[in-house]
Amino acid sequence: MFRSSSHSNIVSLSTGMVVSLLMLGLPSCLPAKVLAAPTKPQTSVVSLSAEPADITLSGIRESAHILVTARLRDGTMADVTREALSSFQPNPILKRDTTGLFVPIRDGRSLITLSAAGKNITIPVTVEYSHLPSQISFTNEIVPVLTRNGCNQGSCHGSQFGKGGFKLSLAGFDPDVDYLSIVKQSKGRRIAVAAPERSLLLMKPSLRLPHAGGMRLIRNSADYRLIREWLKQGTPAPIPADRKPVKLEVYPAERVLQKDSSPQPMVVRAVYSDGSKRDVTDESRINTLNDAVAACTPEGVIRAVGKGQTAMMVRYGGQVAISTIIIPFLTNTGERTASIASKPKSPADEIDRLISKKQSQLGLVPSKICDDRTFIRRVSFDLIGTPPTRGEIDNFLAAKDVNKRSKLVDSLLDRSEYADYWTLKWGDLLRSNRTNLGPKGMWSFTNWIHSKIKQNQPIDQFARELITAKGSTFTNGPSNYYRVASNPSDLAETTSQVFLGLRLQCSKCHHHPFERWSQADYYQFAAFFARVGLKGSAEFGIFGNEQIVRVNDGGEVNHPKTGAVMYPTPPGAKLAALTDEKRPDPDANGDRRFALADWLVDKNNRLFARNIANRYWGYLFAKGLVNPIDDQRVTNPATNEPLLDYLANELVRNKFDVKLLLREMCLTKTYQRSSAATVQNRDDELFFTHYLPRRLPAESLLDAIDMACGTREKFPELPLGTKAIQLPDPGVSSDFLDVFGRPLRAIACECERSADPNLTQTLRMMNGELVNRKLGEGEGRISKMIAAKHSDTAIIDDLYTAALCRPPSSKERNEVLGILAFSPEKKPVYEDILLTLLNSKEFLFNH
Amino acid sequence: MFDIDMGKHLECDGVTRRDFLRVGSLAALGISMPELLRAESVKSKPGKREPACILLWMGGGPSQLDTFDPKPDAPQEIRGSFGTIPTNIKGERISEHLPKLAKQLDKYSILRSVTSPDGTHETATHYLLTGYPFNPAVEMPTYGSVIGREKGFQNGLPPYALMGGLPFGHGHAGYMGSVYNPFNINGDPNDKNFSVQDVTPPNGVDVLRMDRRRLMREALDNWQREKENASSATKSMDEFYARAFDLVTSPVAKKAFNLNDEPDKVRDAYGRTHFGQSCLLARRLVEAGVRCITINYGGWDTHENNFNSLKNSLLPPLDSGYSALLSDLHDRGMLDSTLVVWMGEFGRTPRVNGAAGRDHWPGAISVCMGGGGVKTGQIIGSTNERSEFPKDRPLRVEDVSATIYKAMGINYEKEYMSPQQRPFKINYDGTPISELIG
Repeated sequence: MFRSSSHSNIVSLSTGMVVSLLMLGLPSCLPAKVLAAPTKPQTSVVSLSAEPADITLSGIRESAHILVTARLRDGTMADVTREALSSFQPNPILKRDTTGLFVPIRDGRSLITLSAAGKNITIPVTVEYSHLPSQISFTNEIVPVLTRNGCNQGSCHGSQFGKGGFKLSLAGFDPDVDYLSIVKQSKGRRIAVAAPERSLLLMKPSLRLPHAGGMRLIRNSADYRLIREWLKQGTPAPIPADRKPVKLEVYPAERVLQKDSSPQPMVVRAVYSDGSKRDVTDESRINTLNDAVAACTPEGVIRAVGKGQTAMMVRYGGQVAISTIIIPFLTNTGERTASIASKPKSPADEIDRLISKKQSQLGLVPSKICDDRTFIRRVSFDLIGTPPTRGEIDNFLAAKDVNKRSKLVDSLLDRSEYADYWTLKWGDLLRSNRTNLGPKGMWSFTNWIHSKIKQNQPIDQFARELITAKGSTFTNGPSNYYRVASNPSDLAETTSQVFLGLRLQCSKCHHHPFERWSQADYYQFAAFFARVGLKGSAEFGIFGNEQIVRVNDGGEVNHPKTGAVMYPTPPGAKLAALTDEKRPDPDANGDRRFALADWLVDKNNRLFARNIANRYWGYLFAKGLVNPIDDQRVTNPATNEPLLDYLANELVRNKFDVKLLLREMCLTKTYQRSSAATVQNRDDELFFTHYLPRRLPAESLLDAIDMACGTREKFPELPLGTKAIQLPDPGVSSDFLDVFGRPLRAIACECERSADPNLTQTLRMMNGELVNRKLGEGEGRISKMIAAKHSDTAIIDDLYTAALCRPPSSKERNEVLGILAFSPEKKPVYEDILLTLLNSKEFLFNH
Repeated sequence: MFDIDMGKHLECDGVTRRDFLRVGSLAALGISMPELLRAESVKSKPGKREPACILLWMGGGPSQLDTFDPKPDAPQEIRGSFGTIPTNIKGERISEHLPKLAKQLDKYSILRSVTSPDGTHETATHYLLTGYPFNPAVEMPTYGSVIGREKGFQNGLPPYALMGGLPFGHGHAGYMGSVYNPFNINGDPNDKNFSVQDVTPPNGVDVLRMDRRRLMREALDNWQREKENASSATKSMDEFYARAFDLVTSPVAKKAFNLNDEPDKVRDAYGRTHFGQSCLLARRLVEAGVRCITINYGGWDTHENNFNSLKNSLLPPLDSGYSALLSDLHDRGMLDSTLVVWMGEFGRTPRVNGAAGRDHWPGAISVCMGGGGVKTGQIIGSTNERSEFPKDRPLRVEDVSATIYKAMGINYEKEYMSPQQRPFKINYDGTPISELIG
């Protein structure tokens, strides 16, 4: 969503301005609503606030927006920027232009008072150097113009090969290169300093010469004039000492909008390396993260569209920030019945309290708590990937203990299948597979993962053993981490995605488009792995193909553009303050990976704890707090930040014990809610008002089919009785598992395991050889029940319980008995009943 | 999110269905119903067929010199051992081992100047099958998957079918997810016991039992039945079950899959080969409503014994199957709406190697296209005297891809969002080939 070519600001907009924009025929995405924006009755205004809280304008070309917000009697907020009047004390040093933008008149200090609905708010303003001609900064003024007008976007000159022979860095992340492209390349033909108007740089985007990219810059618009002025100044080059943006301030940081709220403008300020601040609202790129919830014009005017919570992503000068926007599902506060416990008695209570708080903010009412049968099936699949047996169900139902759910959770966490099932998960993430590791390496890796999960090794130590692994890939399992990914880039990407939930890949080739990660961040991180090497073993026979992971004496990672040796640095860590000489030798203790491991699992490293907490939350709740669950970004905020912070803290407090984390989550009311949505929450799939049904993972599905049919699948080269969740890797061939989304373990992304439905799966369940063979198998459930001469009713009840963990309802039982009564041969009918149950959503889903 | 088309459709029909599909927090969160499952569009006007595409994929990389770009005047070690024959377009000649295709050149055009930098099977297969250079970070969707996403089911038949398996693991939906993967037709259509896997009920399950199973599922699958309150995942599942039952019980599908309905004369014309009968099945599927079929015909990696392999085993089935497909489509009035594309991942080295073979050569690739409204009977572009590189009108793989999408009536500049939140255009940056399509 790049801006149309006007520099005019629409943030504090006047109706006249919109009309003039429309008359210019510019593509305007402003809703018609803006033109006739309803003004809230002002009588209920309690107070006003203004953002930013102080303004300093420095230099001839700076200006500022001020947001004025009214707090209304009912507690809601309304934007009154447009109707607010301004006055100065002692004297005006700013004036408001027709668009509502404040521009300097003269230097000085003053107080500005903004008034609306009989209320006032006063903030200090300072103007300096307002008449001192200054050189235009290529980096801080020209590049933002190119970015805003879309010149350097991926589909135009920012593409890998540029367009029409003219290449700019993607989104302007490399001003030095852009300067050369514009001023020096092609023998300087793109600029004409003597006659700026005749520069290709102005002629083409204003369509005075043909331009494949169309009209980008209206002649004599503010952007146009700025470039012309820069040409007149003789195209001053980027100055290394130029201040650099280090952070963005966005106003409002969070806002609840009602469906009928008037549009909410935004203000963006860049904070620079020298501590100065500048209003960059008009130069920022602002996008909504979910246009089904709230839309946003390129100028940052936000409008409610649907219901829920989203954020506006703001990008400027390589920095990113967000503004959270909430549009309640129900506006009638009287209906908000979600009770908020006053004093949480347990971590589970606190989780419920934070969930309730968010739901209540959104006007959502949760579903009721699920029944015991639903609970035991759900929690068994979620914790051990295995359905409960009839005996387990009966015992659980019979128990009278008020704490029986928590006891069930404890007993499941102690089961051997716990280690099997979670080995499958971690095997996916760490990509244990024989294609890459050979059978011996794969077994060594998978067995190591299994043993660590079985002993419930704290996850920080688990990570540390992987990161610092050395030695034989055959005898030391974790060293296979360095064979799955074996060069610094792959290792940096894998490590950051698996353990930090950061997808650094983008910044391998260019500045991350949605994050502050630069190429330097990427290669500095990769530098931790610069000295890890693999050495082939000289062994023959069963130890042939063995690899030894070792740390070499030398090896560095260089920046691909500058060639500079990269100092190993975690992403976001503040090493910038240290000069080269003051930096400690990263290899002082012989292995720079130890510094990485120390940083990674440090209890103050929020990235690690948040990532693990979010992943485990996602495993239990079908949706993470951050989604996708391994894509943590400033621009991808959690749906409930306080909860994610709390869970991360709990993980640290519990010394990274993930079983305890799972236990706390399972004991919440939130986890135990029914999957049946209600009228009040059916539109919600993000705020945990009801349990979200998800299709069983491939392995659990196959094991559940076996349990229902009373059969055992035989996997090649593994003993009969091996369950699908116990398979060591996808090298054990199973067409059924592949069709149902078993990952190949080729990439370190949760997205590789797919629960997406498709036609092949459906046909395979209905007509496939595997399922149909199991139904009537000689040693199977149906054959045995018939041989034992059980009654129709007993058989039907047994089939239902085996497949769905519940007996049939009397209606269901009667339907089926009715069919049986007319069938001379009963076995095919039983088979059809069981097949029908296996194809029902109630079976295919965990719910 | 962002200023791109997230794949919303402005069809005036099926509004209710679209609304129903949009329940929930929508595409940006990946929880809406897949576009594949939207309602079928209103039946097209009689006589006006929906566009379809049959991709004849020559896995391994066919020799351009020994098929559609012969160099009779080149030295023996370049020219090889084959001669040339005239075609039904005056002045144009192709390999002597494609006599039937030579008589059909009015029904297709030859692109001789397609060129690529990629001479590795795996990555080049990805490039030619998707129109995107290989990128280890993301698998791109192939033509059929995109066509399926854009157009959906027709007459109860899945939009994209694949015969002969995935070449080098490519040719599927890539980042778009398994919803858009091809419907896989395994087995050899030339086998007298051939049947399409899982579409035919299993042994011992007759029509009555299939019906009983269907009725039972309708009666017993009560959980999350109320659409109002059901989650998006369960709604998708229900849709797929409806589609699957349709497919299994639909007379249209059953008929389409049954090659025995074809007269022997027709079956013989296509050639009683795996490839020939696959072409015939493809025609039947297009007739029934499938929108894209990829036939993977492998074995073209002729590093050794190039000429004997071509002459004896590869070219005769190709010549019969491909030419019969073109003339049959033409006779049935379906050629104008059915684009038939012939290509592989690259061409082969002009100089014959010591093993009488030709090695990988991506510098000059021959591609054929006919039907679907493209202009035929032309030779587009040419290569230098050794068929190493384009001599004029160099064409990129991206241009071929743009042409396919344009012929299918698809906006090839539309953007999709990958799960990594990276926008991708349907076509990377190609231009439809103007000689083929206006």
